[in-house]
Amino acid sequence: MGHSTEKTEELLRKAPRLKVPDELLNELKRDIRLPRDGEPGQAPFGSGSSLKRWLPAFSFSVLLLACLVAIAVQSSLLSELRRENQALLAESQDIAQLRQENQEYHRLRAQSEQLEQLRKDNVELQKLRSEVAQLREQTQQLTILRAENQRLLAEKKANESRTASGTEEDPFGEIGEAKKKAQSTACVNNLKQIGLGARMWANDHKDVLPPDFLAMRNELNTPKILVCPGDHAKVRTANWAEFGPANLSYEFLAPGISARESPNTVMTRCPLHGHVGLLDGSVHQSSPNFKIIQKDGKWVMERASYE
Amino acid sequence: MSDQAEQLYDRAKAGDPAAASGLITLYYERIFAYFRRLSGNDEDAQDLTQKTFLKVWSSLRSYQKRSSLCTWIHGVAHHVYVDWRRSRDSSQWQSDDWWQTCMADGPNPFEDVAEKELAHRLYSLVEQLEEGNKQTVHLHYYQGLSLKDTAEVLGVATSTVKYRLREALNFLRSQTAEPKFRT
Repeated sequence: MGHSTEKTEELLRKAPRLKVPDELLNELKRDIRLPRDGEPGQAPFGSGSSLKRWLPAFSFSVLLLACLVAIAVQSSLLSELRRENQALLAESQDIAQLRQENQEYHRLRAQSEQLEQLRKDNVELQKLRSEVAQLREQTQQLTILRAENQRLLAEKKANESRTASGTEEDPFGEIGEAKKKAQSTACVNNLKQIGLGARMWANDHKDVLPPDFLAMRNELNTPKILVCPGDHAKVRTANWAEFGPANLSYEFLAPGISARESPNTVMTRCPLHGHVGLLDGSVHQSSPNFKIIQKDGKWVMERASYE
Repeated sequence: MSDQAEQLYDRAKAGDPAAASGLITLYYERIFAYFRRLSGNDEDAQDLTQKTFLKVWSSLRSYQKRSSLCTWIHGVAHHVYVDWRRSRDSSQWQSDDWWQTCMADGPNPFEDVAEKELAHRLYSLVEQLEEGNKQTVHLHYYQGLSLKDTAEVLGVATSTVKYRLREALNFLRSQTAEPKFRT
């Protein structure tokens, strides 16, 4: 039972007329107050009605205009930012190139510094080498001087003992000289025995020489042979248990090296007489015809050159 | 009628009371009916009608003839009503069933009882409309003003009047679509 819009409108338009009170017409006519000539007309309602009517449209126009202005400003800013962005992109490419060059520069600089450091190190090394050579030379001289010193000390002691005891018995010194020779011979004999014992020890230990005298005590008959007969500062002992530095005159110059080294490698030496025992077991008495030098950490005997 | 009204206006503007009486005779019933439907009683409607014509006389010279005289007088009446509503507490005011209580003697405009019932239901529903829509319906349908004149009286755009009427009609149709009206 629905009805159309037209029907609704028709019924609304058919709104019945209303009964008007009888006295209203007379009252209205009685209240007529027409304006006199020259009297200005009064607006029936607020003068701002026109403004009020157009205010929404006016507001919308202002808003639209403001939006357009804002869009224009934004567009302008956007285009400006785009231009700046492009300029910055172009500059950033230059920056990448500069960065590469900077890295190359740093690399070269590092290499240069490294080279400079190597040069300094080389100079320092050369200096140290010369110092080492000098020190080696001084060490050799020191060794010779020590041997000489020992020899002189021994001679001095011998002279003193001779002066103290034998002067009266041997006023011409013949006995003392013979004794010295006998002691030197005994010293040579001792060095031979020591050399033999060391080689025996090496045979049992893969051709490696003993680290010290004590290690080859089984190969030596007695520790007595470790004291030079001319060395009165040391005391002979027959007991290995009592053996110590005070019971040893000789130097063992080839501890722990291979027995197959060069035959002229010095193994033992008597600091008092200057006799040396070589690796091959031979013993050479002190002589100006040869000298011992240190080569590659080992002491070797070489024939002295005559210049 | 428009020419007659314009002539009466010119004469009334020139100070002719007879012409002013003629203008009252022409419009007072419509203006009273407008107020009677909105105010809910005869006394307020009479009072508002008198105020309206007093304003018409005092502002007679300000009429610029941009719209018809009828529209202009309705505009004055509308503002008088708005001022009256504003001065009153909304709880003090209520409309009545004007379509039943103060019918003028005359022919029955409805074809049958069903149409009459539907019409009364519609009039009742119009009073429940939102104020802007209600004013638009009163002026356009009850007072017989055109869309343009209604917009002129209410001080809104014609499109606004159309929108309000569409809303009002949708509401009325939705409320009267049931087999039995929602009572």
